[in-house]
Amino acid sequence: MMGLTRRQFLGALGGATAGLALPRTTRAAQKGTLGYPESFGVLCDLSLCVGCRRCEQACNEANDLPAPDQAFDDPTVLQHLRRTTESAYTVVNTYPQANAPAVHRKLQCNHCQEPACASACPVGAFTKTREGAVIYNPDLCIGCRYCMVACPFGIPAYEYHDPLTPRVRKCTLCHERILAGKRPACVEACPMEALVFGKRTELLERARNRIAAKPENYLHHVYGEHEVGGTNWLYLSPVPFDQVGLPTNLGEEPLCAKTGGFLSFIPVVIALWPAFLGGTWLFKRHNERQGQQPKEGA
Amino acid sequence: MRTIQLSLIGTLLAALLVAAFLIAAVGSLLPPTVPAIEAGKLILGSSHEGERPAVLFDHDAHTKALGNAPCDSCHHRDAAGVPQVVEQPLAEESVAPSLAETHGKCMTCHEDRLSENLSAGPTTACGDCHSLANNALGKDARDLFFDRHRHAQHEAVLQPELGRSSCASCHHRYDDQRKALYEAPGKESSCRECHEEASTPTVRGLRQAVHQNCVTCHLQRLGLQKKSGPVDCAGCHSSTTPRDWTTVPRLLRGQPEVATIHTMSSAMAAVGFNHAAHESREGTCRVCHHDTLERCVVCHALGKGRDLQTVKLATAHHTPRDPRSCVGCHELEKQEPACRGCHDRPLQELPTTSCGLCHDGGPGVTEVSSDESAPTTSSSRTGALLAAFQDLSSDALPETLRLDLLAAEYEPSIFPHRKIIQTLLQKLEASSLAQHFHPELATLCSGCHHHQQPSQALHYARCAACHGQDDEDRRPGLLGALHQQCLGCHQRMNLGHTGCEDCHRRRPQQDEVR
Repeated sequence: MMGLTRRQFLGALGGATAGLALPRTTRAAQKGTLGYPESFGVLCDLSLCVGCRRCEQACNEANDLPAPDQAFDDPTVLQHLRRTTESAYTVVNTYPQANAPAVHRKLQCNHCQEPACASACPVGAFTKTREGAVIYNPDLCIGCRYCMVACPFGIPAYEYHDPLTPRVRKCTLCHERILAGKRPACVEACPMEALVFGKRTELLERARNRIAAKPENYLHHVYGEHEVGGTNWLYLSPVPFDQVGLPTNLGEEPLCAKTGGFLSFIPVVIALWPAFLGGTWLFKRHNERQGQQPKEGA
Repeated sequence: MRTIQLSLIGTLLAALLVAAFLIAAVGSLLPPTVPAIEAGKLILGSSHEGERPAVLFDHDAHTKALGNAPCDSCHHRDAAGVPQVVEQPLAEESVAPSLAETHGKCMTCHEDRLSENLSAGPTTACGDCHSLANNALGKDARDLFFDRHRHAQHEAVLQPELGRSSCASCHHRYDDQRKALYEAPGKESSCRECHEEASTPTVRGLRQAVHQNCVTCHLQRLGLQKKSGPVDCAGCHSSTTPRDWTTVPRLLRGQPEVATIHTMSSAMAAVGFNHAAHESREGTCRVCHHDTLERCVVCHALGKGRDLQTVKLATAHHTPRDPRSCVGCHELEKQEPACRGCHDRPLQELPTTSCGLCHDGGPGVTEVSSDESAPTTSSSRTGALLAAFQDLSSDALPETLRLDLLAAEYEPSIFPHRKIIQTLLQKLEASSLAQHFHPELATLCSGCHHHQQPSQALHYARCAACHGQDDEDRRPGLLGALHQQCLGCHQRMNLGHTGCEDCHRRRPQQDEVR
């Protein structure tokens, strides 16, 4: 019973601190200080994707991943919904639509501007780079897989088959290629140019231009502009985003802002609480001694 | 510890129960699927709603069961002896009959028939009749479409009997002074011109009027052993299948073959509107004419825009989103897969280059004035296009193009340039509308060679002249442009062949690697 009370107390304390910290974060988000302004991203136009899976193939080759169970030109793969795995950093899914042609969507890490995986990682194995990619350092990883729980898009995968050095695996936005001045492998492979690589700010403008040029073609919303504080992967779609498997209930606040206040208070509590308790104990002992002194003196 | 575990299990169980209840509750709140009301059945509203739902009344089953003279069993006759059909058919006055009256009529009959060992409706349980839950009231999808085919059927029977005056069997006008109907040959119009939805003291509502006229006439003719129409609901209120209207005789009422539509501005020539050609496309005049068969300009004043009373003529004819306007109807036609390859999106604004295709000066200027000239013109148009196409040398129009952008993985794709144009020309031949609006070969070419003015000389830049290696804003790179163009067209025109290997075969050595 004792433990429960302490937990409640700490919870209340944390909640109060988070309440104090939250307004500050929201203001920051409104000012648009999230992410790196010069970072790169990819605009994915779902109205153009034909589901040819060349992006999957290019990703597989660029990352030296094992050969897939079914060949990349086997269209039957699209008959069921898939998710990213440790050997496929990107997969294309087909979402059938009522009274409209099916829409294909490529799944991969969206490279959040304020990545939840990075904020959840206790050892800082994830880094949001200046170029926009969220990359992973297996040397730091302790295998807790908090990142997999934290990701709102369910992207990171784990090498469960490897008992000794399992790693978390996900799209790297081809960070090495970007540093070398090249485009991500999937973008380069897309024959429909459904994927466009560029500065995130410019991509947003292009996305808006496309909507303005063919307003009847698109839902008037760029997914990823604001979702979870913005992502470096942006989407244009002819149908509502929840019909192509993108969550629409994430809000515009970075997910780390929901926990950051509480978590940042923990070190303070850890540092100050023993001092406070120790001080109280000292004070109490001092008082007790003072109370005893006259007795001794008498 | 034990208590905590137990309470945890308890909480989980409670949560499960609550979830199950919630799911059940949400399920029951979802709207039930609404059944469509079949022809031959009527919804009789319940005057005691809240207690009992409405009745789905099977009119045709009753007509069938009641034998030779079924109407009088239920329908009242008005002063002139015509059975009341629509409004308060059961009552003598035009007030709603009381509960006792309706129930008396139905239940007495049901009970009588039951005692006579005849087929009878329910006699005891209220819910046997009042079975239609209110939220299940489907849309009454029984609109009757009295199209040119039906009109021709009536003409074929009545004209031999009555000659020219057969029109007056149905068509009439009302003289306000004499308070009487009179025949007005040559002024026939749609029933809706006078008969509105609801009855007025002098003019019966549309439903009332047509039911009384049609059903009474059909019954009378049946009595006289003459060829007659249906007397059950489903006989008339059945869905009509789309048919080839060109084979149905025209409704002749003195309309011009080619009408001249004048414009207000001297800068814009009049339109020679081929009325006959448009008639042959549609099942009824009301597709363009609203309730009257007057000329457009009688209601739509010359000019552009709209005021409080009317939409002006130019606007009425040029609104892309209104299927009743010329442009709007043509837009609808362009939804056909054959057209969608090039016409992939709704018209944003009127093109200024094609005004002359309609505004050709009128019948005095064009040669499209006599009956047989219309078909010859369009076929000669396609003929001219075909001739122009065949005259093109392979220098001007390459037979095929070799596309090898993905040479590492795929063998080159052979683009059948000439065959594609030939296919488009074949599709053009099937539509007189398309022929009219594609007077030159260059118009067809500009479907793919976009952003280049259609040129008489047919000199077009290659795709790579504009589409570079990489994508630029609003302009895809060459790889993207080709795939978007080819695949987009194949998808929109339902042409199939949208797989990678339909255009370029995978190189064998690549297969070995993968």
